[in-house]
Amino acid sequence: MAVVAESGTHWTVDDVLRLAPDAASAGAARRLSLSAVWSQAGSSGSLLWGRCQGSAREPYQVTIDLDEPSFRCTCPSRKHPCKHGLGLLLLWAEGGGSVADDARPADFAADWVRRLAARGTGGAAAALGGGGRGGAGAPDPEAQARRLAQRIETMSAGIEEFERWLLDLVRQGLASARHQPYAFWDAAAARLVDAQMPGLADRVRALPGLLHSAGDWAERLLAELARGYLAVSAWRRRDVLPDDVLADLRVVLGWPRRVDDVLERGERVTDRWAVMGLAREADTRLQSQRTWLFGERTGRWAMILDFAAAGATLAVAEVLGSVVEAEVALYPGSEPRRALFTGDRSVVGSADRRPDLAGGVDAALDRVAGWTAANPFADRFPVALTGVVPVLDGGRRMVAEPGGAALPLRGDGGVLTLLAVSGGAPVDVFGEWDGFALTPLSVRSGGVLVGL
Amino acid sequence: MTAPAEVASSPASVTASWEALLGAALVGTARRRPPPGLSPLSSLPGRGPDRRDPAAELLATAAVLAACRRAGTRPGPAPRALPPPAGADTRPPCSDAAVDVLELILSGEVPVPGGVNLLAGEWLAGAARAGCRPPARLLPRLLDLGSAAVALRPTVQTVVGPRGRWLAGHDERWRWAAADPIGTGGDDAAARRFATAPRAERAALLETLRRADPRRGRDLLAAAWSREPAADRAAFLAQLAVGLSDDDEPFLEAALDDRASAVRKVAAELLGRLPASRRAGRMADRLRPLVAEALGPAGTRPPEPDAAARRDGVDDVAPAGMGVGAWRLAQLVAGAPLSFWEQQLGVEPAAVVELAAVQAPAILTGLELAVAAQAGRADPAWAVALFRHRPAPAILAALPPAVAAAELADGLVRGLAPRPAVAELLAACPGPWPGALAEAVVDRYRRLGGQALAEVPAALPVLAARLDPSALPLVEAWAATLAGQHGLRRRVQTLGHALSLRAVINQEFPT
Repeated sequence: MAVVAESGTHWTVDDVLRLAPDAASAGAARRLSLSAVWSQAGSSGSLLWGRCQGSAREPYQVTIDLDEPSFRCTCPSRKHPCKHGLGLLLLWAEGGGSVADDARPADFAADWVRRLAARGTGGAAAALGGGGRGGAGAPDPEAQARRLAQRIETMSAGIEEFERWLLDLVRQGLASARHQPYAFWDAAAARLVDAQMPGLADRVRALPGLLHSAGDWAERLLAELARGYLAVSAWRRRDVLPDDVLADLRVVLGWPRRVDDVLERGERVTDRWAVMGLAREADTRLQSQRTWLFGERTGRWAMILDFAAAGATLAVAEVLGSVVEAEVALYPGSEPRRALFTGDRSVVGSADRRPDLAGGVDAALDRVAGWTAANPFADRFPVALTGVVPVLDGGRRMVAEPGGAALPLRGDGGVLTLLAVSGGAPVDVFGEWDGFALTPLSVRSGGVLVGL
Repeated sequence: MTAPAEVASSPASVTASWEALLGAALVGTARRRPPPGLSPLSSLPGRGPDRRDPAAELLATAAVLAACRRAGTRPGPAPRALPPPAGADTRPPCSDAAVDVLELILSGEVPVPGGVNLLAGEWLAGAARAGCRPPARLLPRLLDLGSAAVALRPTVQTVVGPRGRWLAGHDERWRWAAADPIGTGGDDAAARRFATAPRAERAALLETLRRADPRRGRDLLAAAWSREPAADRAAFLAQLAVGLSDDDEPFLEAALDDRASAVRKVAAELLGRLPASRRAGRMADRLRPLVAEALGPAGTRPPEPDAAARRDGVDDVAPAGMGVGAWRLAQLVAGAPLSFWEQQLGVEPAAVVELAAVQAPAILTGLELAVAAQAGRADPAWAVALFRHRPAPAILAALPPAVAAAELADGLVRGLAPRPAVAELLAACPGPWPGALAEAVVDRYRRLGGQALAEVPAALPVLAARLDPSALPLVEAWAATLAGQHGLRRRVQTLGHALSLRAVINQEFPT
């Protein structure tokens, strides 16, 4: 099975509780995993970390290397693993989203890994993108295979249930689905989280938002449900799908890929990367940041994605408008692809002219069409336009090519800043196209580049 | 996998198929089966639809069609005529340092007493003074600032320039900034706007006009006067306080005969500020026969006000703790020119105040009201004498800034006044404060130590606005003495932040 070849591992609640030194620890860990004592929880590769507010003034710092597994906690308990370690592992195993995936390791976690690496132990060293695996502590392949089989079983069951839910909606009709309370959609999303498919869950959770869009709610709801059904069909045919399609499917389902896996196997591209735009989003538990890069030599797009728990500090982004000489490792999947910097990068200039992106609105949408054909799940594409005029006129908000085509704009503050910078004259705009509208991320006017 | 290129389907047939599917999906496949053969893939070998379940068939087909539609999205045409661009702004750009400090202020990340508006107001005033252009990307933030803080609007409107006013036309919240600033259009433009705008905007328009050209403001009001309802007449008349002069006296005198009492009251109040007015002369005439008796041991009882006195606003609504007779006397004193006393008694203000304090509290009250009303049009010796006798904010505010600062510094050094009133006195003393006052104020708070906490919330915003940035070492020394008082110390440190930022503003926009 192709999915197995790109294995990730997952722990079930039972796996975790089996590590508890006694029943009291297991119970205490369970309670901890359900309460709001955690902060800065994140994972990267086989490394897992978090801060737990206990009875002491400073929160305990908990770090876990999943490969061993080995635990470290700053609490005074003599039990091993302590309830904080088990609690963090449970929090992560339940996949509720409180533990940021692929995050930048907290300082205390990174320190621990470095100390282990210095002693030549600890598989988590790979999570930092630095040295390779230590000598001791190779993962148990049997346990890994068992956890993988378990994950696939859980997901398959979840897919079956999701399919029944989709078919039921279409049998009853979208008109009646529109009157379902928010809890109806939320419950379906929660079941997808339980089935370890948080990506699909996010899409389901976004559906009630579509129902309020004025004219075209039915059209957009049907398109989204159909996309969900496409994921169901693709999962059934996972044995025969090509690798890049499988990779796209994994992203839709929300099956994360280990950073060290991408660094080890991902395609490497070295280029002068122009930093075209930054997009930041945050909700109550998670903040994310997308950095769009355009390779001046290869003409390829790449996107760096960073996560951090709410309140924690995101990785420092590249400076908008700078040109970075660097190698990236691309995630598997269709273009435009997610990427990681593999090592050092140096700023070699500032993009005082737009990288050569020939063509106007028509050419940009042609590129999007090609990307959509390869990956029907994608809904965020980089679009760079030159010499367009932002227009806000009554209800219409768009960027227009004088005498040519126009694209609708999305967003409030960004659009007004775009308009201010343009003064109604032609400017260069970069943004994300979502199939319906362009969310502007940066604008260049008179040699000045401004983030939106 | 079959390449999508092999699927031949026209945009029209995709749209028609999609509409048919959507129709079935809306009512539900349990009620309506989707028509067969809609999928562009159904013609391909081995891609027949799933005939077992119409819902599954519908979703599978919709997935293909939705992807086709998404990939086939074409842009709409640009409008044939693009809206006119913003006018050119020929002002030089603000310095990088000035822009940095503005962004820092707007971010609200540096806590300062009085919040963002205080320092933003200083920055805007500086930029307006220097005639500099802020970067276009910050225009939305400046317009937002003006939307939230009405007091900042005139400066915001000046500073954002032609591009900002053009931008303001694109968002309902910024309407106030969209029109050309008052004064740039002719009389007709101002009259048209005064005739048509909502009430709050008309009051603001009148105020701005008065500031620039008091005559034009009064003429505009006079032209519209007879058509305005009473409440608007009173509100607009009150705007004549801006740029008030003896030129306004005939209009105000006429307003004393208005049919609405609210208008008459405003007119009397404004005339009380003009010692050369006919009303002030009439009040002096009413007062003259009473003075000798009033200052004598027996005191006086002013006669019942006649119709003319009523017209001038004399009423019987005495403040608490004052008899009606005393109040009538106080109103006559308040309405007469302060110069009356020297002409009448031939002594200096300090002597009059001393005499009144001993013999006639009603006269003292009247003198305080007169000093507050006639500020800037009377001998400052009056305010000095009254302030030394009884330090009140209104009296301090009536003094020229330099004298006020000197008197306040003196008072503080002498250890004046119960504590709660001091913050009000500080607020009444116009800035920028000279070094002596800064030292006196900070020194007083240092001596109070932790007890300063009672006053500091009210006083810090005033200090942040009025202290000269050169007082920063004083403030830092004060904060250093508060090692054990974390809350108070943090607040005092915010005052230090404000002074540091103001130092940058002064440096980038030199006066």
